[in-house]
Amino acid sequence: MISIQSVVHQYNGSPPISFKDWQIKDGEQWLLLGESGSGKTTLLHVLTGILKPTQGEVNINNTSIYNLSSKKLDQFRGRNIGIIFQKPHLIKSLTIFENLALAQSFAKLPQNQERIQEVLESLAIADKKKAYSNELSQGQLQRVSIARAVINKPALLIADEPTSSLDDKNATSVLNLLMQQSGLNQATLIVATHDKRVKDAFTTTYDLP
Amino acid sequence: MSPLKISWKSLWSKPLSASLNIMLIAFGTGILTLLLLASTQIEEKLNNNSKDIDLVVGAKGSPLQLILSSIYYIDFPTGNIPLKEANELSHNPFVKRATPLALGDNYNGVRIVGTDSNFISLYSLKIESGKFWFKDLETTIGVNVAIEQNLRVGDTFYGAHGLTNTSDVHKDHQYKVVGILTPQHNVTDNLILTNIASVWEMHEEEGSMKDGKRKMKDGEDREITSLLIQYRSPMSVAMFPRMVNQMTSLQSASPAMESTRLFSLIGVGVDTLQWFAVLIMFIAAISVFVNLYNSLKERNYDLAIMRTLGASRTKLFIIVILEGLLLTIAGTIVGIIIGHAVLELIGNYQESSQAKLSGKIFITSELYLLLAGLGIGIFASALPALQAYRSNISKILAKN
Repeated sequence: MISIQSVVHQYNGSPPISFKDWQIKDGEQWLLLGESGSGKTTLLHVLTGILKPTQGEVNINNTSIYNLSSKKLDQFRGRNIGIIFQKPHLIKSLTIFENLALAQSFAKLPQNQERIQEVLESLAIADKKKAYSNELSQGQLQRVSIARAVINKPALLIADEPTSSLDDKNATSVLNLLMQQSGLNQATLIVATHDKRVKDAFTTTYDLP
Repeated sequence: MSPLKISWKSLWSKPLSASLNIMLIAFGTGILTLLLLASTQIEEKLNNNSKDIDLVVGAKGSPLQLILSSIYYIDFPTGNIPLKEANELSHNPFVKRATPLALGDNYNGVRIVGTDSNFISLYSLKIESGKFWFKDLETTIGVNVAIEQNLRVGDTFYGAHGLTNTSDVHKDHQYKVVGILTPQHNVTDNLILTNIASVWEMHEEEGSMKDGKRKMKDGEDREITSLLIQYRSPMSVAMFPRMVNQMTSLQSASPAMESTRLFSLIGVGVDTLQWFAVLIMFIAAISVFVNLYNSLKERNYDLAIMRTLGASRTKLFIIVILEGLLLTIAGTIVGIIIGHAVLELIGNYQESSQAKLSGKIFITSELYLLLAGLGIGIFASALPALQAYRSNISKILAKN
């Protein structure tokens, strides 16, 4: 269960943005809808524990994440939250396999080759295991970034504009993969976007004004 | 996956700039290693060869030249001194032991030294096989001479005039090897020792032909090259050299003083090179810094992602510091190896075997070079690492 309560954030010198309270039950799939500049990224960062809000509380599975120390919070994020960015952003100097192993080791989990294999297979990129990111296509890279996000079986899977730079066909397929993976890993899914194409796939929506 | 592996892979994702940095550091360290090794070895050799000799007395000329020729057997002698005056000095109460030297001939570039039994006690020589020279034209040879010239006890050879390899061979007199010395690890390993009379004998006919004034067989008019003096008491230091220098045809030179002078002469060059090497190291440090700093700018998104994957600030700090350390330590090690290799190469091309340098000797000061490399690595990567530590990942991720 994930909840935010009376969260307000104020950047230096700009008016405060306040977010309405939000309760997400385990396994739900949510759409976070808002135009750019509406505070969408801010809310995502608050949710993922990389931006401490000026006020308010964020609870993930009964843990008030901003009461954790910086180091504990990093580790908590590594284990419980998987993030998919608009661009894949893999570590270029490492192979696909190593990128996933890196996610395991940063979360202080033992390296689990079978898990890596399993996730790569479920995303149909197991044959690219030993490749470097510059050898893969954009679509393949996006799959790897999904793989990296789900590798540690996170409770929460967050995707930030995963489809905005893709064409209709790829957007649909990425969306399907996200929903499939969140189901497969029993993760709560939040997709933040201003992309109207995505809208129909979700029944629950959190709207930013 | 360990931070070390992450840093390592990150470095080698840009092999060119990594190699450039390693090369710069290796170059600087290489020069420093070379200087360090060469000066230690030279100093050691100088001290080793002159440790029991307080003073050298020879013909007037350059004192440094006198030391070089009579102790290190490198330069040409300053000339000859009358045996009569030398004998007077030998019996002086200040003198504990005076060892006469008569130079002038060589065998394939190896110097033939005419001397007496004082030389044996002066250098504490020991025989490996055969015996010490005794009669005229008998020789005892250093261990290196035996190996390099392939001489054994019982072999004979002809000496040649001069101190370097010449064709002017004394065909009339044949030297005979009667003994080989144990390794002494000083200049005597590279000498052929015989008695003074043999050297005189070599030059008699020539001398009589070239120079009618020189009389044969007349002991009082004989000449030798120099005397190696050991003092009886420390008091002699003050008195004896002055006394010698007042004798018209002689001069005295102190090995300790001349070695110091020699070092101060070479020192200017060594200092310059040293500063040059330090400058290169400094440039290398800046290059490593710029490299890390720039790559950090490109990679701050990568590092932010690492944070989102669960890496702590400290871990990022370590990863960046390790990159700097890996570069500089690799550079230092390569540099030390290069230094040794170059010195070995120089040693191989050196003609005078007396002062041969070796790259196979390691000294403890090299550890300091390694420490210096570590220091430079930390110095160059501290700021980028701190930046990685402090970076606001929310801001970095939002920018995209």
